Amino acid sequence: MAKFISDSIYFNTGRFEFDFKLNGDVTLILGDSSSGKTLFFNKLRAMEVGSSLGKYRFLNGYNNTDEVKALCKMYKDQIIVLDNADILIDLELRNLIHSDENNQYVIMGRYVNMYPVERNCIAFIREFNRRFELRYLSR
Amino acid sequence: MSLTVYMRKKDIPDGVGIINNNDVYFESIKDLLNVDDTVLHMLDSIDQSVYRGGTNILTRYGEILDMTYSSTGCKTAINIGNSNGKIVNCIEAGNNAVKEILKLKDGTILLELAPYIPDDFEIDCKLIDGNKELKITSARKLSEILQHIGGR
Repeated sequence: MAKFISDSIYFNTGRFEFDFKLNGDVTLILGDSSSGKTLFFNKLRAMEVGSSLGKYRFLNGYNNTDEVKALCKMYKDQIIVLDNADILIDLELRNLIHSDENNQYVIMGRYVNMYPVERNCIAFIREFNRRFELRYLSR
Repeated sequence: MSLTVYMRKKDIPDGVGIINNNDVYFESIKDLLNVDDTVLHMLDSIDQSVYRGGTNILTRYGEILDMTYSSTGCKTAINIGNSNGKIVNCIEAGNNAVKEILKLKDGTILLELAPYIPDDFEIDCKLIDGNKELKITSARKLSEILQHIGGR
């Protein structure tokens, strides 16, 4: 089991508002292309640049799988936001996430069977007037 | 010409390159990209963005941004026509992007996950299944094959 650190991510950039409720230690965000997954990743990362809290860590396809594994092992008490997960994930990384007792994960991917995630933690992004929320497959 | 679809990595011949990281690959072609009708169509149909010259797009949120900020699915679709002989892995393309990709008449892709096709449409596709080549003209038929025998 990963570590359930926070049950929500909320931020407002002035143009975009993200209000994500999180149901568990690993959240998988699915969805069409251009539905807001990478927008969420980029905007949250931009918001975090000036933050001293250091609550989030951002990993994506510009990291390679070995880097991601090493960083996940190194981080403690972080919410790791992982974009481009389908090209990064392998069985070892999947098991690492599953057994990571130190960090929470928010993963953007499509290959549902590859991720250690309960059905009530699989969500789609829904947008209305630049306000983004998560809609879960089941409660 | 038709779209060539591999449904398993192991069917891809040795020595043929695969573009797995479409975001990174797109960065390598972006500056010299020939913005033709296919590119314009993908920007519009997948991201609802409009090309504004150079490497700029107008997003559906009214922002002028570099094409880097297009969705990965859109970049995947654009990469197919600019892959320099490589096979484009569509694993990160969302269902909306895959549907547009399947309408292409040329290119070579790796499609391991079955798309959801509620409304069938005509495609011109050559599906590689081991040593066999299957001509597929229905998007839903392709999806059914991928669900039952293909993919990961």
